Amino acid sequence: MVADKKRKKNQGFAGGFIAFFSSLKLTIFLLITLALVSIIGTVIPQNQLKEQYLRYYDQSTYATLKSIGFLDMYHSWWFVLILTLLAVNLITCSWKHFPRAWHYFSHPTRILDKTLEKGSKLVWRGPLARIPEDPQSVLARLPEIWPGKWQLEKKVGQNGEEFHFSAEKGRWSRLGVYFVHLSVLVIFAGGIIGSIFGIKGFVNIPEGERVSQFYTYGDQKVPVKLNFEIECRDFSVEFYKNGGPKEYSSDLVIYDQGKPAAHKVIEVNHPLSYGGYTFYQASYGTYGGDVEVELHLPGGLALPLKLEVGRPQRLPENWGWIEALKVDNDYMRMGPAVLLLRDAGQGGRPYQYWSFLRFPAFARQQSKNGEYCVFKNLEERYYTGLQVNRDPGVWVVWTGCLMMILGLYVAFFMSHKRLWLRLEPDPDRPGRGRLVLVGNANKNQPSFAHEFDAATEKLKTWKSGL
Amino acid sequence: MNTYIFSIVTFVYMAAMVVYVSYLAFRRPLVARFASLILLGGWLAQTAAIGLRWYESYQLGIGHAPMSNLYESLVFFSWTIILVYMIIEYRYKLSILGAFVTPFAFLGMAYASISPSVNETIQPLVPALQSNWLLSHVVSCFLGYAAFAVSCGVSITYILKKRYEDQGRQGGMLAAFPSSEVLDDLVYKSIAVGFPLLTIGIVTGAAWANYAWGTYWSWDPKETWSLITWFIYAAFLHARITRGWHGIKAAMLSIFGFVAVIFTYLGVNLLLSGLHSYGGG
Repeated sequence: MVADKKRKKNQGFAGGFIAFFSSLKLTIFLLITLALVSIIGTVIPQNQLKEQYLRYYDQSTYATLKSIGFLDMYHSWWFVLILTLLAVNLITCSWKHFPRAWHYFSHPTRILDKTLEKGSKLVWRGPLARIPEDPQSVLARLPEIWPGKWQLEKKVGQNGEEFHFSAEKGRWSRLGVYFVHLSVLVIFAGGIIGSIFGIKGFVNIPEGERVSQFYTYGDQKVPVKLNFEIECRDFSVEFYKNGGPKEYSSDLVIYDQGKPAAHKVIEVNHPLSYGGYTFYQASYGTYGGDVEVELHLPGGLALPLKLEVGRPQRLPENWGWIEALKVDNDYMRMGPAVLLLRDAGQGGRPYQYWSFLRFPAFARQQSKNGEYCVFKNLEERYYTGLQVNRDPGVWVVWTGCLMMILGLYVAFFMSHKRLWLRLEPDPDRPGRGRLVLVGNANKNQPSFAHEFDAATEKLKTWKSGL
Repeated sequence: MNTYIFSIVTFVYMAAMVVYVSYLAFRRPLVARFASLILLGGWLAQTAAIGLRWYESYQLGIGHAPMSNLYESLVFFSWTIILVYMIIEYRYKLSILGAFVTPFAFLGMAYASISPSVNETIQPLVPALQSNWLLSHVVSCFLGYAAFAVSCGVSITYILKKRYEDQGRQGGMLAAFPSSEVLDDLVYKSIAVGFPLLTIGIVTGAAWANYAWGTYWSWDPKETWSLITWFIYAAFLHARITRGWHGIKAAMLSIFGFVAVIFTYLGVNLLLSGLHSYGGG
């Protein structure tokens, strides 16, 4: 840290900027800050309607929370600012440290010099009868001690010629961490692309009908035109024995310029994509289907009728009018029921009453003026609820995610392993040679130490045989 | 039938826990061997019962992997904790950690078996859960959680040992613990395993959400808490590189990380609402 401060002074503003933004302390601070502030949005419900908030906050609390962005905090300026700072931190830090890693990558150390030897933990020295005249033969045998591509460098030392051999594995794993950092930026980029160019909405299509627009979410449901049409040819739903939905699916057909262009039966987890948009099975519902009733008139006459909700129907003779006002799928927890409006004509007042599908006898008990109406059948019409989405950034996000997973694997589980072998004249025994083996791994040293030991065991058998 | 075996497994894990704790006191290798055997037996029985439950769900005509409600996930969580622990015990020969890790698995099983709010029956899957992503999402998340459970157990051990070493004491129960460097390394290693798994879990969850709802990220409380957990462990991994954050501070971060894991897993379902609310049944 002292060194950091000195550098700050020496390098002026730019240096200070880099020193501040590349510091790991800032990274840790930002990550923990993100973790802490993110909690807010999990406690305060996000993006709800004003009326919903006013149910549990008073007006002034609501106004305060809204003005500091707590009601849509993950898109608030300060949350985005923290994310931006993290991105700047990550870029500056990588900018500062990448050249060193790249140097490892592009300038592998081939010579085993004294500094390297002194700084290494894994060093082994052994005698050698003599220095071989042709180092190429040694090179050919080196994969026996450690599989890999060995390189040869010649160097003139104090006592004569030295041969330096080096081999390494997983050199590129040094770049893994930068790959992870880059992946974070790629995911950010994907998110930004999605929020600028993407659009999200919904549309309900009644069975058998066609639409060419959908609506955005939010307080104002803005219609968005599609340049093609989408038809729900059929909708079906299956239930489990306990009543929960097991599966629901919509038979969708896309018409482009009037001609069928795509067809798919979609269900939850199996969407349909067309023209840059994806249609997801999100919900379903029923709407005013035909109501079949049987009107029992005084005198024992039963009149079967098919009523459309909200449309009064004139009865034959002078029996007046009847209308199905609304259908409730579970009225008073007694199952489907229809609210009927009956106007018998002849000067009597129109009256309303409920008729229950499951309790026909109940209708008879309720008879008025000697007539009653039995609810026989509800011909339900379904509509399918589709979520519509266009997100050109989603593939960028997946690319980033994949890069991150691969990068994490490389960064945590791959190590850069290096071995150097030097053949040199023995300074203490003129005419004889000496072997020096040095190993280095940047991760998982214990397991590399085993590899190193195995290599030295092999080398011991070489001392005379080279 | 399977729930019956699971209740027995709960007691077996409790027995293993007790023997591991007594190993702390007696330090006889035979005690550790005995504890490992009990644990392995319980785990094998649990594995069989999970398979049986899977099979039974098909018999009921609602076949699905047994990871779809709170009961099944608690059972699976305990199973992954013991699996990860046994691998570490085998690889590093550290039976001492058993006393700090097995309680998590025992508590998970006990909560699943005893709490009246946890429904034990095999339930049919709602349409959103009927996906091939279910298995990869749940398995990667819970393996990650298990690695974090181990790191939390080891962090507690580390803090005890580190305090002991710093006070320059000798003898006593803590003398026999592995050195603080070994424990510190193990905390790091288990997080280095857990972090990529959590990342895979979050990514598969996002991919799945995109298939089901058309949104890979909607800041739902479960998602947000998994990200909070991710931030904490990311902070831990960066903290280890800087010198000032080494040691106790890093170990505390790893414990906080596991608190966030538990909140992500249970707290969100019990206290908050959101897309994963069906996981609380």
